[in-house]
Amino acid sequence: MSHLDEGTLHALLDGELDLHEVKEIQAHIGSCAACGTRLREVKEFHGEADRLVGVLELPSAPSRRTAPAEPAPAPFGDSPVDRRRTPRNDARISGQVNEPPPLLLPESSSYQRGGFFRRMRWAALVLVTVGAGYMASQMRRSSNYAFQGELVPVRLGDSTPVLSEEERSPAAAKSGESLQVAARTVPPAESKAPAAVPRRVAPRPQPAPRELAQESGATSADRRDEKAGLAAAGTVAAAANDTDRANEADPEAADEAVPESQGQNVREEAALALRELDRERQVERAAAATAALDSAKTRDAMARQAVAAPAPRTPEQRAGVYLRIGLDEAAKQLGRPVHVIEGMSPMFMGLVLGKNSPGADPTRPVVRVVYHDSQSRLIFLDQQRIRPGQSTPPAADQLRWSQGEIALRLGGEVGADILRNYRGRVR
Amino acid sequence: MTADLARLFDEYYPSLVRMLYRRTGDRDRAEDLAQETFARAVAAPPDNPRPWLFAVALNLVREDGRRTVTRGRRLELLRGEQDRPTAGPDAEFERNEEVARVRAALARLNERDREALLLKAEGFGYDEIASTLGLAKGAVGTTLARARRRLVEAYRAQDRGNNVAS
Repeated sequence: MSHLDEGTLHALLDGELDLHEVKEIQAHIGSCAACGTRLREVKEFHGEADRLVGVLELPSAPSRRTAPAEPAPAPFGDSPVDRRRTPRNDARISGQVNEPPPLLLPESSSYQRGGFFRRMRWAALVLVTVGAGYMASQMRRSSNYAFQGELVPVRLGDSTPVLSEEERSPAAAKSGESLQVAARTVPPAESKAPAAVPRRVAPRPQPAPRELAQESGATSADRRDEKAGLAAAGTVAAAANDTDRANEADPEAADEAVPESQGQNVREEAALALRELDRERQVERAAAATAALDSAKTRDAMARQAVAAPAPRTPEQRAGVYLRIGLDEAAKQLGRPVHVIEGMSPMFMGLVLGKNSPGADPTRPVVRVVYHDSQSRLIFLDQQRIRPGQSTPPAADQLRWSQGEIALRLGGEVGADILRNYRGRVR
Repeated sequence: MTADLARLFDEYYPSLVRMLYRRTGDRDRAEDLAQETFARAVAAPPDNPRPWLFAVALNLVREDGRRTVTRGRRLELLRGEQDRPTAGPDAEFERNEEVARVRAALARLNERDREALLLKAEGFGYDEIASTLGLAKGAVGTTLARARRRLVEAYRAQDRGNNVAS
């Protein structure tokens, strides 16, 4: 065999060669000092290059665009798609070369994709409720012409658990007339009463335009959460819509027929939607904070896994053989021909540290002949020359015995019962 | 289709970004390029995804580099990012120095050697490297051997230069 080229040695170290190729190369290296030297050199370059590439780890800090730098919650409807567009284009336009573009696909991909669909689901829900609110306002306008001065169609806010005055206020700004009508038809004192059945009342004087303007201004100033406002507006408007429709159909029957529970259900749905949105935001913030964690922890964990998890890949590693040897070298170590298991073909033989062979002299290497059974489990036949004064294996131990000057031991990846069967075949 | 893409994304996105970061030295750019790669995967779902994704990503790096040069910008291959702000100023300085030296050494490799090395660092087998870079499988070992040797030699040459200079 000619000398080994560097590419082959790298392929060997990368585990890309077949077993027979490995055997050939190892046999060659055992007999060729130049190739042995080259292998050591290649190992050095191999390890050093891997270390250098490993230096270029991704920064532990999240990228500027994924940093959790959101002091306030993003406006509703600001989906990842929206976020990825605007700042990036601004950066390009302004000519900033390394201006970080916003996140397209985040690092915690599974959450973000799911989050996108969840947000779209809620966006659809809010759109439907806002649309219903708009329709309600339109119908309300027409119904006002029909029933002006006859009915107070809806009572609001008396038992709503979530929609406080502050949260209803922006709805007034958003949804326009529907909520304003409700606000001016229900006096504050009555709104605290538990009864919510619509009733026939005398027409009330319309508030002065200045009062309405103040009310609207106050609601704008109090706006805290656009999403909550939209949802509340839609919900309230939907309730008004339902009530109005019932009134239009039969104003007399509306006194008893319009169920409070219907409006209550809608409010509860809105409250549920708000709670879901809050939860979404919390999860979003948690994901951003998680991205900011020091990746060193992750690397440590991976390193620990790497230390704990991998089983030796090569048969030599599994057998604990630190140097493969041939028959001649084994005979030289033992001072006589090596023992074998009759009827089995050895995979290879090599030297093992004495401390790794139970019962052997730990200061000297042990010759290990390695076999494998039909299930590819390794079987070892360890042999070590007994020095004068060294104790011989106890007779009770069926897997350790001596023949002449040689101490033998059977071991491996199979059970003791199976190993005992091989003892009679050792020659 | 969507499920397949989601699986591809989960499986390969971190590795792709890491490789692109090592290649470009800019995390944001690496993420952009990875996203562009997956966008292309949506348009034309690949049969053999890993080599395909990495080949497309490396092509994008090359195209992006050419555009950057055309616009007169300077590639920031040697730029070290502020990676570990908690490590203390000395450690941070040393680390940034080390990163810059490795990047400089990596920049001295030719394109193919560098890409082979980076793909190997992402756990690619010789088959996949050959498929991604359009090489014969038998040439991968030689390519990697040359790449590793040159990287280490270039890195050590800087050390020698520093010692002489000091």
